[in-house]
Amino acid sequence: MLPIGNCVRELRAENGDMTQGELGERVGVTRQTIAAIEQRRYSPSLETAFRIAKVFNKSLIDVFWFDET
Amino acid sequence: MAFKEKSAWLMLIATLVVGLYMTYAVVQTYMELQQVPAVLPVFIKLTVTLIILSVIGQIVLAIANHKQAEQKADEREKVFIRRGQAAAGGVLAFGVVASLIHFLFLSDGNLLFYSCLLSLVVAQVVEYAVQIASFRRGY
Repeated sequence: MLPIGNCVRELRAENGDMTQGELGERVGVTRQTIAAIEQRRYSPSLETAFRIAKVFNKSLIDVFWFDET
Repeated sequence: MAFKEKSAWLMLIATLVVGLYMTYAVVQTYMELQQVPAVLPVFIKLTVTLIILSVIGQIVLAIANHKQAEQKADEREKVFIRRGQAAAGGVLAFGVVASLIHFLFLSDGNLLFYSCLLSLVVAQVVEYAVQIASFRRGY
C-alpha cells in the first residue's frame, strides 16, 4: 500500500453516491484510476489530487494525507 | 477492463501471431534450403499482415467501446505505457547488439536482418506484456 492516504470513497458516498466513473470523468482519469487511488495502489499527480479535492469543495489536505503506517 | 488494456491485448496477440508465423516461415526455409529466405517478401508480408490485423482490431474495439476509445490515456495509463516502452527499449538494444556481434562472425546480411526483425518483434511483445501486467496489477 502506498503512503498517500485519502478519503475519496467516503466523499463519493457523501456526495450522492457518486460513482467512480462519474468522479473519473470530472477529473479526467479513468474509473480504474479512481479505484486504484482509493485502494492506495496509485498516488495521483498533484494536479489530479487538486481536481479531486475541488470536485468535493475540499482543500487538498482534507482529502489526501501522508500515512506511512 | 480499461480500453488501453484491451488495446494492449489486441496488439500482443496480433504481434505474437505474426511474429510466430514469420519465425516458422524463416526456420522452415532454412531447414529445407540451408539458407535464410530473401528478406523483402517476408518483410512485406509481415508488415502488411500486422497493419491489417491492428487496424481491423482497433476499429472493432473502438466500435465496441466508442466512449472509452475517444478518451486519451490518463496519467496512470501513461505510466504503464512508458514502463512497457522502457522494457521494450532494453530488449531491442540487447537483440540488436547480439545480432551485430553474430554478424561479425558469420557476415550473413539476411540473417542480420532477421535477427534484428525478431528482436523488434520480441521487444513489441515485451512492451505489450509489461503494459498488461501493469494493468492487471493496478499500479
